[in-house]
Amino acid sequence: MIDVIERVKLNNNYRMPSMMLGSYQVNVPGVLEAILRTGLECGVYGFDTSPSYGNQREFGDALQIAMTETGVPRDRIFITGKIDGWQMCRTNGAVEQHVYASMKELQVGYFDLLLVHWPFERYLANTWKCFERLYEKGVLKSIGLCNVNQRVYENFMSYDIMIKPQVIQNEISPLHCSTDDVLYFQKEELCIEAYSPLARMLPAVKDSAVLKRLSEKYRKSIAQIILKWHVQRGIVPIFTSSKPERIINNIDIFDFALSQEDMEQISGINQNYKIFPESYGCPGF
Amino acid sequence: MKKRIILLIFAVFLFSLFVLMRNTAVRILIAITFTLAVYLKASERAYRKYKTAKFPGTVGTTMRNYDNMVLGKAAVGKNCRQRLKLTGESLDLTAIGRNFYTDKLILERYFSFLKPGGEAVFCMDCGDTTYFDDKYISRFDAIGLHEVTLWENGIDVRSGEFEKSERINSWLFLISRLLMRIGRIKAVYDLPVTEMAEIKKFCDVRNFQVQFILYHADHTNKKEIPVGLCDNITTIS
Repeated sequence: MIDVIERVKLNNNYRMPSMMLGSYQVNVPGVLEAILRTGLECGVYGFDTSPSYGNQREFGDALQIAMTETGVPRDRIFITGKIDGWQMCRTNGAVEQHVYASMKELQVGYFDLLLVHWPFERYLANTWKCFERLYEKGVLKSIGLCNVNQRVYENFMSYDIMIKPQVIQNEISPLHCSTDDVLYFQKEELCIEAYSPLARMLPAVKDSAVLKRLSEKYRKSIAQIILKWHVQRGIVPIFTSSKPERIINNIDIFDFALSQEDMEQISGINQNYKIFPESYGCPGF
Repeated sequence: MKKRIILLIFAVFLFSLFVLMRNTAVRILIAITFTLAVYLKASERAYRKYKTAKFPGTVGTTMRNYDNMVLGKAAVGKNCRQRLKLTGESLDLTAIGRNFYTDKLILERYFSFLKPGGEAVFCMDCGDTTYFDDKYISRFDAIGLHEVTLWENGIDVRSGEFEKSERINSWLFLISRLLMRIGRIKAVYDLPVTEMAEIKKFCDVRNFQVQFILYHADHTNKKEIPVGLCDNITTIS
């Protein structure tokens, strides 16, 4: 079995697909099944989940069906889970029970990656200690943080950290390039994932003259151009689609390369626009 | 639709009773019941509208990078906005019955909606000591705060109690809006300078500005203000 999508090596040598499928706002069981089956059939083996998406149980059921139908074994699949703020605060960071509960819902024996969804400062140190314990046990193959910038990360690293994160997952798109943070985290040898990589195809993206021109130049859709831009920046995009044909299109980006000039032009669209402003998900961020 | 039909039948029933009954006391009671029912329905509706429109979210609202955001009690904020002539895109986060404690929590949740270098404007009602003294989440603000913040303040959104209190809020909403006012007492209060200094530091670290508007302020209170905060304070009499 050959991976269509390359795998990137994390700082603990664990390997992660360079493109992933998200599950945010995909709650219809039939649709989930179709998405996961299409994903596995066309080589997208990475999936992103969270208890706050409210669909872990359905996701687990759909994954089992898709695995049986496609014959893709668990060890080829990369499952990302998250721990949410409400779980951190109610347990004061002792989140083991929630990790195991998520694994049970998803019907998996381990997480390939577990992320702190929002870096609530008051509970972050304890939560990370718990992550480290589960990592040592082998329940978590890699661990990381979502929604952090350089300031928050530096503050986090000032805690008594035994195991450095492997992955940072942030909102990154042409409307929010986050160049300084990307360079900083890459220098820190952290793998960066981008959620909302297409900025939900807001008018500023869909109607962008730059992206339209590049779409014509490379004979690819705007979504494909943007996803390629992420991959060439060394960022793992997590895209979501409820349409199987769109998933197939979105991963068809490995037969061309954007020039450096075109890469810079896409970065020039930046407006520091975020769909999920950090403080909204994590007050006091 | 089903709920509307039930309400309509209830209204017709009350009206019929009103017409048929000869007893004045009963008629007065029916009239009160009817008025109350109409008020509760209108208040629920107004609160529902307020909940969806007041606080920005991530889904459905695309506006970001505001030039400034205004905090404080609704009546004071309205007055300050007119007098300060704030320019650019402004996010109105004032609310009925707001206190300083909640203003700080609201700032902590919504500052990312500001553009880098944007400004948070605290419109502080110095004519109302409760604005400074109350150390709890003000009534109509729980819906705008994060679940974790609420938990830390003793409110569990996953419990039935929260739903109950929201139902009561929806009943009280219209009357509270009618009674909203700016404090007129010549108040004796201590400016929360420590908290204000913390807020300034919070804003500095996150690269946005803050301005504290002391509305109806007693000038003698300005003596308490530390030097580092003076540039961030404006007094409106």
